[in-house]
Amino acid sequence: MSKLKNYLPTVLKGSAVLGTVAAAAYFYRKDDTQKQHSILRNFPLIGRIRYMTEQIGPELRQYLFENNNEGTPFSRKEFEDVVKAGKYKERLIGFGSERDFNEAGYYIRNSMFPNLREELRIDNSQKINTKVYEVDEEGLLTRKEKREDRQIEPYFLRDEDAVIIGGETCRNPFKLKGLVGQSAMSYGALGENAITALSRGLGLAGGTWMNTGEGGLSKYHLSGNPDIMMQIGPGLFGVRTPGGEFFWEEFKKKSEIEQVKAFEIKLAQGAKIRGGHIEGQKVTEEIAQIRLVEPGQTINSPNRFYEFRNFNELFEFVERMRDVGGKPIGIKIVVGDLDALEEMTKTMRDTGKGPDFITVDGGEGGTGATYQELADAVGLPIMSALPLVDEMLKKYGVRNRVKLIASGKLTSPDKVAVALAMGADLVNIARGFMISVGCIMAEICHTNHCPAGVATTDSKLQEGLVIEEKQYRVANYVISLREGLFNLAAAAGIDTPTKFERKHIVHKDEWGRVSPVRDITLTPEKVEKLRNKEKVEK
Amino acid sequence: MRVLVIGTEDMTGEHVVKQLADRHHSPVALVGAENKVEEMVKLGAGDVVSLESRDFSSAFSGCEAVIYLSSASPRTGEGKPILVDHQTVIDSVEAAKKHGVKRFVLMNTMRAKEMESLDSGTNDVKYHSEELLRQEKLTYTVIRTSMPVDKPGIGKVEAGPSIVHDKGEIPKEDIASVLVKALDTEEVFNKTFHVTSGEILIDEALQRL
Repeated sequence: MSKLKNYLPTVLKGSAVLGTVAAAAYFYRKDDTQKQHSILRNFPLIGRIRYMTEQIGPELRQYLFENNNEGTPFSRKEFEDVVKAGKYKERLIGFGSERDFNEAGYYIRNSMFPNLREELRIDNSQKINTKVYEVDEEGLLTRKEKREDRQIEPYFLRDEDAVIIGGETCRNPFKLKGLVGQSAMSYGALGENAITALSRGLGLAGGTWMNTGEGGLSKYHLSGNPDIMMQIGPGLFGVRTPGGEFFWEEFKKKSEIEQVKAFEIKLAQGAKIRGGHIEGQKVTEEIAQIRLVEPGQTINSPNRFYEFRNFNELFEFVERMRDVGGKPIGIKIVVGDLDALEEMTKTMRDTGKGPDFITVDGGEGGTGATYQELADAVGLPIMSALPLVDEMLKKYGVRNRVKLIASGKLTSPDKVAVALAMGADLVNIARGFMISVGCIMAEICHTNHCPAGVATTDSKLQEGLVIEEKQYRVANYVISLREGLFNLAAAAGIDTPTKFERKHIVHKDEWGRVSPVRDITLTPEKVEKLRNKEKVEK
Repeated sequence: MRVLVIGTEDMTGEHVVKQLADRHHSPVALVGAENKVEEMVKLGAGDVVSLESRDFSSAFSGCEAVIYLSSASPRTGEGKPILVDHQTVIDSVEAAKKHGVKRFVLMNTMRAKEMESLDSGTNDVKYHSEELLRQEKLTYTVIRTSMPVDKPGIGKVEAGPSIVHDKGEIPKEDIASVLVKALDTEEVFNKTFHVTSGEILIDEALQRL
């Protein structure tokens, strides 16, 4: 026994060394003989370091090498802003901004006489019970923090400032007491834990909405009782007949669900201007039931609806949907073709028909799995697309008939405010909400292997995402955005964020020149007209 | 009962208005600015008196009781120069007397060491207003609370002439419940006591006093 005791350390050490050598030899030989990678053939074993670091590059860069303003699609700072708002409900900073002030960008024009807080038109008559983290002690390697109950103010819009969609056209208009909602994210793309946490958080916060994405309305979307916008894509998931046609009866049934407040027809989205694709193995019983498709079968949705080919037909379809459902109908578009945009607005004017809201998705948008070439080059970014749509609608005198919802990386109050000033009535956020439920931007949404358990239906990975904890972060994040909007409104000298206009922002270019944000589509004749008008007024 | 609520700028005051309405009283909210009127109505205020348009004293007319939250009077709070305005307490007592208001519930926020007994630091200005209230022929209740915090109410408190194990805080929603329930709980008439977050249901805690 004592002998064994004496030899044991040596044996252990020996086997550790031998084991390592054996493993090295095994991998050396494997690398040397494989035919796939030339680097590994030439540099067996050592070459593996290259592949490993390449794979964890995004994380390494994010944590070690990039400064706080670098990094795409969201910089470290943008990411942290969302996380902190959700976790601590805190947006105060010390020692100044980290924004790169040399870069071109939009700025809010502050009033010399801002509004006092008590002059703002806020409705805080309701209170919301949530939970936030309080930091007790922060050391170099440790942070002592605990979660505490907190009663917070919701920062709703006043009733008369509330945005009403379909007020003139629908039996059941949709009234919104807040300007920020969750953009389309399907169950299937996101797991049930993420969708449930979002639903509960948004339901708790109130004054916001949840877009189901084209993957149909699931019980997870409904679980937290938020207001729902149901999206319908060309695949018609959730409202299709077995043959793949629009199923009016099912649509009527969906529209009778009280939580469903509006429908959105997705003509395009920033991430993928193409039809969706789901592998048969991902089409579980449950997903099949929600989407009204056959389980186990691969689905390719068409990249355009069969139901309509032009604006006239689309608007007829919208009319019929509104008639059957009684709720507002919107369309989601990506702006690239200005002639088509003009044709759309012209058709709206000529026929007197059209959607109740238009969701303008910036080309930069996209949680969805998509092709690189489509994500990078198709469609204009939101800050260019939005004013174009706004102006086009005004040009044809139909602006008052629709509400504009903007989306595309608008994750903080200042970005939302700029979008509102550029012509948006409401703002959709997708990735900000993903971050609030734990996304770490691993950028592998398309693989079903999301390490944070957000963009995955893998039950093992989803165990990491605790619904009870994340729901409060969602609520805190959206409320904090609303509070931030009121702060900015006060600074701009207006009493509610619904009053943001172009005149409240300026654009500063990279050489420091400041210009007001005017109409982008001003024609020379129009400029001439305006000049004449000014002369007359003088 | 028609109850005037003074100090509605803070969350505690908003809870008081709401709870009064829930218990079928008719709350009258005193506000500093016209802009607050709408919110008060939404909370359930039967009447809102804005100091922008009406005189302070006139708010008392027709009221049977006053709940005064001195941590936030219409002359204090955000953008106002004084933290706790004791002159307004004194003015309120005067106005209550003048308009024949019979019941007066006063809330004062205490520092931690003040919570230990009722007779500490008698030269504090805080106590002068309390003293004045006691001398008048009103049915008074003076409620001294530990630090009000923005947490959801738990419905349980500890109340008494002295608090030995002060938790150091009390949710605003619970303060509001104590104030509203004290209004018609005879056990607390003409009494001064401390209250902090605790383990006893509010109704019971008040009846034990």
